[in-house]
Amino acid sequence: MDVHAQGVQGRPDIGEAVGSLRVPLPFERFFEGERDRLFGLMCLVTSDRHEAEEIAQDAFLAVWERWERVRALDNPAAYLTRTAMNLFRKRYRRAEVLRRILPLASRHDEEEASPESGLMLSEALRALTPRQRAALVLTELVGCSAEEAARVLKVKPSTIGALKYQGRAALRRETPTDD
Amino acid sequence: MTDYRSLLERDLDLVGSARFTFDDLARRRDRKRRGQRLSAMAAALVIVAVGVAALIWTWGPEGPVPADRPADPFVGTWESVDLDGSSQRMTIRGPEEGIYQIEVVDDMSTACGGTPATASGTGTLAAGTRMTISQTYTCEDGTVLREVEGIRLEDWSLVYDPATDTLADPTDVVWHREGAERIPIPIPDGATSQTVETSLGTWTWTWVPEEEGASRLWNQALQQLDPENDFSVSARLPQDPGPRIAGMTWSEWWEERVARSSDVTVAGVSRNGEIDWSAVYDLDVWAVPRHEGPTTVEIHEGFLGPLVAVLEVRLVPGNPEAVEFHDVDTGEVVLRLEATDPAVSAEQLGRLVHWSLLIDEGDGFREVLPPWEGLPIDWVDVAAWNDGFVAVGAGPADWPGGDQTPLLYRWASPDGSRWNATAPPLPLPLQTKVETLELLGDEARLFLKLAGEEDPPSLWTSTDGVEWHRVGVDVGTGGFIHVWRTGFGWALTNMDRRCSVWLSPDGVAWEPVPRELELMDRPEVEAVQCSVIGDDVYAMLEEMPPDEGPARPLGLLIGSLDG
Repeated sequence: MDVHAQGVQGRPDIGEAVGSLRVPLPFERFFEGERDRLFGLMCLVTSDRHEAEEIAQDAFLAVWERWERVRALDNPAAYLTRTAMNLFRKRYRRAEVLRRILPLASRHDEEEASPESGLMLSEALRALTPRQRAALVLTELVGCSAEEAARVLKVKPSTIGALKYQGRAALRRETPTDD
Repeated sequence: MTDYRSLLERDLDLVGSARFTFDDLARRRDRKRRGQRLSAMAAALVIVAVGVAALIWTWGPEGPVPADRPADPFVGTWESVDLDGSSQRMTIRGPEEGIYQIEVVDDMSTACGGTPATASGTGTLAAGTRMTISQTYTCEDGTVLREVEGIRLEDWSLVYDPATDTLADPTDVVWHREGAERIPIPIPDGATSQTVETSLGTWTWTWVPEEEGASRLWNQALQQLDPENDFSVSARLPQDPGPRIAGMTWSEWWEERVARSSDVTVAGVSRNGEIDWSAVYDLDVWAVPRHEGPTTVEIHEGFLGPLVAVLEVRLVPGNPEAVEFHDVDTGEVVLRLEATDPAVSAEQLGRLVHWSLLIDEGDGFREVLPPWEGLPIDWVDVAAWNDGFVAVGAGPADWPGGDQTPLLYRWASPDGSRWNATAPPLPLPLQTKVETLELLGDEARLFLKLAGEEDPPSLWTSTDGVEWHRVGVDVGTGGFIHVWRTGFGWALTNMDRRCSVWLSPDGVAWEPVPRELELMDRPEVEAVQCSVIGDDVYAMLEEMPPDEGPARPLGLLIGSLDG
């Protein structure tokens, strides 16, 4: 089952539009149409503007290199989202290895670096771990099922469920008035 | 209920627009291409150097080829972990008239969008240690790729390193020969073994020292228990200093596995159809105890979160109801729990062991209010039972101030969502505290380990919670019992210093399995894990230091019934 990237906040899904019209889409137009959407998703997942820009640009590059094939897909945006999530997963794993080598030092570094990211995420979302945010973004915003999100993040569907549960519980704690 | 999507969209508005432009992306692409060209040049130099070194090694007077390697070093089955973490397997056959046949299976290809992929092709030797390959790379959906990781597949190659008996591909992934560094199965004959006659047959204790790969064997055994590497564990502070931090969690490849040397015991998750039951602790931090000198715990952010800190747990001199958590690096007290502290009352200590129920209906977990919410109990277990579920709880809670009569609570549910108490709470057979509760759903059998101030610990079993039978097993003080269903009947383990084991054909009559191995007489040797996997009992043993210092893994003790 493929991941279906959906437009956020009512924005038309460029991939679907192109898929239905079957108009060859220049990569630059695709980039302009998807840049803010992907960047926003990655900001939510990473809670770091710089990290989000790095991942988003690398994802666009990966798609650009395969554009002849990707643009023929029904939903190039979904492919882009999945590529970005794969990159996030790889970077997160690498960061985790570093964190285990230098557990406390890297934590302090991150805490100090965080305000420099210039990202104005709510406290509620900041309270979540990157994995919880990734699970919530994929399932709540992108519209993946648990199975689809599990394939993207390479975990079992039950783990997605657990991550969503934890993420929602954390959001509830941080936003009690919304309950 | 919170609208999570709206909340996420609200945050999305806060993010604003991306700053990078298409021109930035084009420049990034150019930089990447320049880097790839430089890498290719460097790799070529390395290949030449490795080739020269390999030729010297292979043909030089001091470089004999080990006898266990095939005559052609490329031929065989190879395994690797790809850059994206996926597992790859490659088979090289031949050569016939100088042509090798190559098949590769990748269980998750990033280039294919995360789906499995296969590659097949032919190879020819370009030099003594380098094979050039022409191959076809096919995604699961039939898509054929011409390049992977920015490298054209028709330019693919493998370089053999005779010093390590490995292959390297153009993405710098190292391929190891299948089965390399693996200890053989069945279990090798250890230096020490013991045969014991039981009423069920001949029982053999086999000792596998650490230097023979005991830890690796343990990992393989766990794979048998849970081939999807999705096992659950329950963890407990070894010294139980009053307030307990314990629970169950999952571990999968993303996370570092729970340290096997820690005082954790493997537990199963009850399953019934599509519904998985589990219990998790509702803690903001997750603590995993481990043995490294003094009692330490790893603190993780949240349920599956990353490691945050390692804290040492210390009892407070002169105050038996307090415990402190010190940062192992700075010695700073980061958390202090004290029953007499008004800010952390006995009730609050009890809340540290708050359980919640999660129900997985195939589309994610849903929280179910546990029927024991708010009750003064500290042991709960849930199991599939007939066509539904049953839950039991026992108390009073084992935290300071708990002085109620021990009671057994029982609930039943047809679907996991709706719960009803099946009977009023029942008094337990002794005026004692509950130390372990085990519910075996398939057998409709309940086990309780009870202990009183005057009475020694005892084990009781019941099928209805009303009529109880004392199990003739001396479980001793300390340790945690687990009852296992096996192919030969029943096994009971007590996770104490020795991992004591009893066998039973029916779950009623039990006999201890004696053990007289020399190593078990050493007082510094302790079992740190004790599990039944399949029909075998596994105990991981460690050597405890006389004073402060890290424990040393010693090896694995395996008990099995012949036939």
